[in-house]
Amino acid sequence: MKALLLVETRRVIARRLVKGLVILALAGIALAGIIAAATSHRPSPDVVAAAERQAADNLRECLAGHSVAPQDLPPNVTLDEFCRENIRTEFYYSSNQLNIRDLPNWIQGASFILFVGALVVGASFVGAEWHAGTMTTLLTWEPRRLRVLAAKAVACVAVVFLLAAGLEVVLSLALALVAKTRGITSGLPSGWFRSVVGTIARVGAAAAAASALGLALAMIGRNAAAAMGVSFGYLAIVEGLIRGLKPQWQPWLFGDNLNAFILGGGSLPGGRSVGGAALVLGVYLGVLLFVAAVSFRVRDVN
Amino acid sequence: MLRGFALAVIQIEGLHKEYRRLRGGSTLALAGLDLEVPEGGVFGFLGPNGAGKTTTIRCLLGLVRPSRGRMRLMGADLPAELPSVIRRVGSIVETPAFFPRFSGRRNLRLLARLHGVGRPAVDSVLERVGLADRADDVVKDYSLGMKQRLGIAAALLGDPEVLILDEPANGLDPAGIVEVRELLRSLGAEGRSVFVSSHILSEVQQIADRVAILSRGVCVTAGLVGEVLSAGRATGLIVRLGDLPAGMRALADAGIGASLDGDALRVSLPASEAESVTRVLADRGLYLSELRPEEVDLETVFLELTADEPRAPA
Repeated sequence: MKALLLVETRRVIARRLVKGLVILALAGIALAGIIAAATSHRPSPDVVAAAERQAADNLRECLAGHSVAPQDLPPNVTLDEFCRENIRTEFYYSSNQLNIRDLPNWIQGASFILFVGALVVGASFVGAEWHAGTMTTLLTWEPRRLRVLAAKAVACVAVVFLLAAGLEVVLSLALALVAKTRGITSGLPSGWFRSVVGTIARVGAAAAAASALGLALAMIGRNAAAAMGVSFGYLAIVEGLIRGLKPQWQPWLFGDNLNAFILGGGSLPGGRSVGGAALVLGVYLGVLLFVAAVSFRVRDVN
Repeated sequence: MLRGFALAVIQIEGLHKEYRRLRGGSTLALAGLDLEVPEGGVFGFLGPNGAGKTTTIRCLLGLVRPSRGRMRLMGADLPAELPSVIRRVGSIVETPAFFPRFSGRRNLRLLARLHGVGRPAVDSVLERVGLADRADDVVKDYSLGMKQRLGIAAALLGDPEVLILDEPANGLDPAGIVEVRELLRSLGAEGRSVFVSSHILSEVQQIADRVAILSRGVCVTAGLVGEVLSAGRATGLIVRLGDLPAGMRALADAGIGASLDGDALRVSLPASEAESVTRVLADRGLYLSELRPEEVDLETVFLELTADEPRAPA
């Protein structure tokens, strides 16, 4: 199993599609960095002074209780904590500064592209094998089909997770560099770094889930294009219709739980946690992988 | 039907395979195949297209699930025990498929890694199939013949005791066919069991010790090549002499059937009765320039045995 896993991992990494998508992503990150650098300017001393004055005035108002009623405060947060967290000098700069504080949002913003890329990688990894006939060759070397499927799934999911997380790290570093040289890096809230790491991990896991989704569907249909078509058709059309016609089902839809998972929970009615969303996504993927395994095990390979 | 070879590498009994079609109905690819392949040497598995050769091989390799019947490979019940013997089996199924953008060498190294086979073995098999010079080219640039050689190299990678090769000469040029023929012959001579399916009968006749002929999903004959040949059309004698019409008359007078066959006579007697032909003709003062048994090749037997067979019910 170890040898099989190693071979499959090498195969995923060696795929031209994977290399091409990584190069494309790096080019996209470079472009995003250039655009951010071109549009972000460190505030002048005058702008900083004006913003500090404005922030000080608003903080006084807030601490006096004029900005928020006590009953509107979040649970376990004092008025002082609330005001100091929400009224900061950098908020009163013009909007032309890249603020490192927003990094988790940037990472989440890139997640859709990573999800699509990972879905394509997973579907094509298996679909191409069926198309080229190399699945037959492989099965004449390792006839235990469940092992083959498990090795392929683990290799694909692990590589996609590491690549997606790695790309998010590169994106973070690029934006951090821009923020450091041409934007704002001060005033980071406590737990910011943990939030960034958590977001990167969740986006990586979401991409890995997408690759497992594509792989399972391609194994069932023995075709990459069909797997991608079914995925996009289901997520865009079927779930879209369900959202419109049966909104009460929304907490159980794949797309909504994926969104909740990436955002760190709370985006669904009832405030579904990250763990809850992960569980729902896990059930979806578990069922699909089970069907793929049964289909692969019982169907003839011609 | 199992004839009980002391050591049989492949034993098939009552093998059926029915392919169901999505729109209903079915196709019977194997209709109760019985086959036994003894250990060592080259075994030719012959049959016209659609006879069930590839389906049989796919069943043996676990790619296709038989509808019913029993199979054993090197003593292991198939498909359940296939993983326990697969490392001792090398195979090609139809045109071998490889990762097109990897080089031939890299493809083999990936396969070798699966069974813990070292890199020297990869170089060795590439050398053996004559691909060493092109081993670092990507497979997509290979000709069909080169892919076939790479397939044979892959089959040889683990130094297998049994080789199951489905049409290994497909796509090869004449020189390549000769090379593959020599390779298979040498593999058989090394003591390996080579089970080779083919529809190129002349090739199989030259390399196989034993053959089985498959038609419409059943084995119509099997045995040593000589036995199978003699099971074909009733053998006769070819006689050459100066005055063919006189010879025909002499034989007819003696109650021996003969017919003109080009510039010779074909006499309907087995080789064991050649003496009576020479005696009858000599008594009439007719002397032979040639007397030999009529040659029956595998193709003749094959066509005879596979013609007019009722198609298995779908």
